[in-house]
Amino acid sequence: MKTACLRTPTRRVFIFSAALPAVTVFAGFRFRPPAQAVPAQFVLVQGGVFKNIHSNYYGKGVTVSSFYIDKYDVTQKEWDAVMGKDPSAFKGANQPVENVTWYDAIEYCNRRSLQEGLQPYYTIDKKHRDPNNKPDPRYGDLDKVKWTVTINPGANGYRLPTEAEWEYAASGGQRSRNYSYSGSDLVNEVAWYWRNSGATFLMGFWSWPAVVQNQDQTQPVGGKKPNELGLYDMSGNVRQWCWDWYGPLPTHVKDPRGATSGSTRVWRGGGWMGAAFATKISFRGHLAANGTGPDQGFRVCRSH
Amino acid sequence: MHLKRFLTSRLSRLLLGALAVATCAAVSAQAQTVYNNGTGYNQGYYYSLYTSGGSSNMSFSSQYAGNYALSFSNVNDVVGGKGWNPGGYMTVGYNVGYASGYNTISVYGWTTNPLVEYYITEMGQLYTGNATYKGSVYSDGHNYSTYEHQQVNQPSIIGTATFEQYLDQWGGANTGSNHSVTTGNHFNHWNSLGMKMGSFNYMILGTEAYGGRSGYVNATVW
Repeated sequence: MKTACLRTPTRRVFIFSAALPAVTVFAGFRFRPPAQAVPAQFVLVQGGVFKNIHSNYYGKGVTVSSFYIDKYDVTQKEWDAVMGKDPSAFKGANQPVENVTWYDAIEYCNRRSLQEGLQPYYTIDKKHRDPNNKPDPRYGDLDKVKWTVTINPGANGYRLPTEAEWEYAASGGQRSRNYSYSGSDLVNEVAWYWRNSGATFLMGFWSWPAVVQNQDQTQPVGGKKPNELGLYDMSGNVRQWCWDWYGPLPTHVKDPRGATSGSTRVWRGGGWMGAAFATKISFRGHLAANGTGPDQGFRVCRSH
Repeated sequence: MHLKRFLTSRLSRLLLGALAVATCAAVSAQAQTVYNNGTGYNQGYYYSLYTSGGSSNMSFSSQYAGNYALSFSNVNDVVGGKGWNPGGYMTVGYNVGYASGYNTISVYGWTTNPLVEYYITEMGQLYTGNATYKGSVYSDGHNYSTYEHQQVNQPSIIGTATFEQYLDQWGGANTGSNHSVTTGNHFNHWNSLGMKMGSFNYMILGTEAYGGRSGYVNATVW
């Protein structure tokens, strides 16, 4: 299902020639400016305004530019090829990687970009604590990592979707059929969540002991019906990190990137552990950037 | 719901252990008895039954809409109850006609945004060893002790989350008498302490027993 053949080995060969494009420096790394095609499993999401009436952005004057996004969550096989050590609680090459923090996801993006000769989208400063990473007003200073991460907007490397991009893609983009879950109004058609991710279909109120007893867990990616854009698991399986700080949603803006500061990063899509409502395209979740769990994964995209 | 695990770190322990084969479910939508695991509506009330190990059944009286009779035997854990979806500000009336073998009987529920798991314990006691005592509130004729506890990266109704657990603990209800829980008194009290509530999800009067217990609880909510 995955097209690993499109990846190139790590390129650390620097060609200094006036006839070639200048070598670019990002965050201490050198590489050639490339113009590689995106992997075949990426989908071009045509930009525009939000069509889905269930979207938080519907009718709010928010526009998203075209971008590429992976059809699937990042799998453990993909993670291993880039990062080398799988943190997942539930092992399986074709299952989504989980137990990843927001920082892990950011590092993955840059390392994969470098492996494939792309320009890293992020500059990661691990020495200086991010002044925009504020203590949580409710829980205090939960994030002890606080790397300062900034973006290189013109870079062609892998990155996390913004919250607006995620919701635009999950809601079907310009092909939206106004589903409340990504690709359907019937949650079981498109999402792995607490009722259907284990040995039997669970009934009753959400109950963690019931989830454990039923051996609920992640499922191989792409096992449910895709959405209008051909994207799988945008509802359920693992939650997906987004770039944004959690905060009020913007209006009348193009390509919003979230608040300038915050205490938690946004996740979207819900996962195998949670209730159905958390897998709706409109549900907004958030967690400290160093927080994670066995239902926390991510999906990558690239700029168009 | 798992009252036994209130205020404890649950995720790692439960993920590594307790992965037992699921108890067979036997539920009939029209039947007046649910065996081991089930959910649905009965005479206008949402019901839920969950059993781990051992066996249980929950039957419903046609005489009282909110009645349930829960029998359990040698259970690792059983949680059963009737209630509302969503919960909220209301007066929960109840009468526990008979109760044996249980650990706790509580009004239990969740809110989202902020994410909160809450308990108002009417019979039995929850473990509060690592919770923060916040004070007390007088409601429906008796005092409740209020506790708060933060859960970091723990399982929740929205998946792994950092959230608060609120508890108002009394535990002194007797059997055979009508009692009420004015939930708004508890919610407003919590709010006055800065313990904010969000949008209501389900709320039940739940009975829980664990540790190999056997027993019988007959309760009615209204």
